[in-house]
Amino acid sequence: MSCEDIWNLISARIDGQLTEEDRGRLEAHLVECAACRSIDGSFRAGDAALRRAFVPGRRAAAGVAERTVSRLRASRERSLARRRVLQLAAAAAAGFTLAVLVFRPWAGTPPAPEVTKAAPPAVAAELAFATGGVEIQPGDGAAWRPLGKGEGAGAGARIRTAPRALAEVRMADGSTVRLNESTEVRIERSRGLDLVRGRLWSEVARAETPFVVTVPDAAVTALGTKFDVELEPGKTWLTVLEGATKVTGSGEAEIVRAGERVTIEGGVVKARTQEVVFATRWVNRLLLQKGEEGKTELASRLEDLLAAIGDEKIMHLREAELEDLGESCVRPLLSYLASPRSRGRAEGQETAVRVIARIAPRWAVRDIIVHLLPHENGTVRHAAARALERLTGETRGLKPEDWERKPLAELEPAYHEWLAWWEENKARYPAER
Amino acid sequence: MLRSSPSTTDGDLVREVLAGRREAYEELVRRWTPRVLAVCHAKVGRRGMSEDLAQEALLRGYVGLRTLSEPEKFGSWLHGIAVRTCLDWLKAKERTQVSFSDLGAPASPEDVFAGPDSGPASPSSAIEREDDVKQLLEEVEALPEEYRTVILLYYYDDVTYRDIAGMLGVSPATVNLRLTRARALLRRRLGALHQSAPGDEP
Repeated sequence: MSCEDIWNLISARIDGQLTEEDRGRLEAHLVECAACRSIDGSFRAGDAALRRAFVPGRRAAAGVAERTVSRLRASRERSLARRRVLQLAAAAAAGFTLAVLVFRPWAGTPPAPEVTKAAPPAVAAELAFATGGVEIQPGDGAAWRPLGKGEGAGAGARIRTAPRALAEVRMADGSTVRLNESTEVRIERSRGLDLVRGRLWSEVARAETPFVVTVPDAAVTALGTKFDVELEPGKTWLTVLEGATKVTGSGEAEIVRAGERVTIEGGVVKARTQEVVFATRWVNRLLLQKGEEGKTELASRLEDLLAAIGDEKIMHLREAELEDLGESCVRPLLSYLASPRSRGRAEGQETAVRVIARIAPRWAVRDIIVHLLPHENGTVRHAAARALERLTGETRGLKPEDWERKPLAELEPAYHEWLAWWEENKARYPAER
Repeated sequence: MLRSSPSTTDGDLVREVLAGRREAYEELVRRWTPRVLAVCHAKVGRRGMSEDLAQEALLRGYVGLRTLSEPEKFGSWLHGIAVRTCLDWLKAKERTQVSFSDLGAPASPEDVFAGPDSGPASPSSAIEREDDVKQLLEEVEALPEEYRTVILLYYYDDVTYRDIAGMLGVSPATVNLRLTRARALLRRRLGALHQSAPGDEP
């Protein structure tokens, strides 16, 4: 056996791949060959050096695996959502059997993820917006550096906001996480983060994989919901705005639902309250500075709040009492009628619109035209046309009762007629103070 | 040190994915990413870009899984995809040299293995060692492709010669031979680095 053959055995021994038979041969050779003993020594040293040198590379490989898995999950969720929409459409059009035949849900073809050539590295999260300084620590022990808008953060990165700075982070799964000032989080993955200090608000994209926010003594799990988590010394506040969350701490898991605000102490859910309206108003500060997009969301938060108030009024007050409240109840009732809260609740809708028709002031003209004339409920349309006649002296050629009698499709030209009228005359109907 | 032979084979996982349990591909991803990354690194010569290419190869594997005729040979099939993904990229890069110029010079030692926490830890000895690491990796990347491929495959993952052989479609003895030659070449090029090892002749 030549020395070069022996080198193969030296390699195999280092790699734990040597057979017993070869081991004997190798050891016998090494006793008598100094040159091969030297090779053995330097191969071993080289192996140790290579193992050390590949530590960052191995860590990078783990990161690539996690990023790939989250892209697969995201594409699975998207395709699932797409398929559901298609199935619904088909089922509505042609009945369930056809939908099943066409879409064959059992076939399970892997959907195509969005594969792009040499795509930029996938990230778990990216900074979408900030009102001040935001910093990132890309990995444990690394130096903190400023994080710019649009910049990504991988799993394992920490993000923190300066005092007085608010930030919005977009997770790779489409969820939005907002950080209050002096807040620090660690991104665990695209659907998981650790709240280290401060306060966050999150709107979780709906997906099969649970979204988890961990705090020192508990984990808050959500599938698709809005909630707010605030760390205080020894205590965590959890406010759920939509959907439900599960709190897993030291005791049995507890469900906290929309409209509830609880504290978590020692891993246990304590004091529950219902005051959620003002609990998350810190988010409004961020929205106010976010430009048009923020204003739109702020307006819809306000609209939602108003609709909730309108809903309460309809539920708890009689029609005459509502009228006695006067102008102050018009805005919430309009919001209620325009919101999904009133959908399918004909009685509530009709009560609301009767009150509006009798007492709405001039500033309500725009909302009556835009939201109530095209309403699904004919009684609402009829009352809206009456209200417009009272407030503007106009009928635009269509009697109020026609708005109830005619099908919605036939009313479209009349609706556009009113919109055009509004554009010409809006100066005469100033907005609400 | 070596990976214990997994109770669920690649073939089992492939069949599960095709039967509709798509999450099973996640296990294949975790199992194969280090080796796919190693193949891409060996092909394009630096790690930064190869991370993206590895991810794309893994996703292409998912999309094309139905075309895999022998589920047990997932590894060598995926190897082929990884190689093609890199070749596609290298070709595109040649065609659009300008737009890729901002990616920087290939195989510069700073961007290879510049892990997030590779900052200086302690004085001189650590810095010296870091220089050694850079030099070593540079030399690995400068090896002939078939040698650097086995070195990268071997050190990115905990694998046996048989695992590497199955992926590359060669015999375990060939893997042994290439690893030995690669080590001998590294030893010659980095002589100074290896000579002070214990067990050396005086």
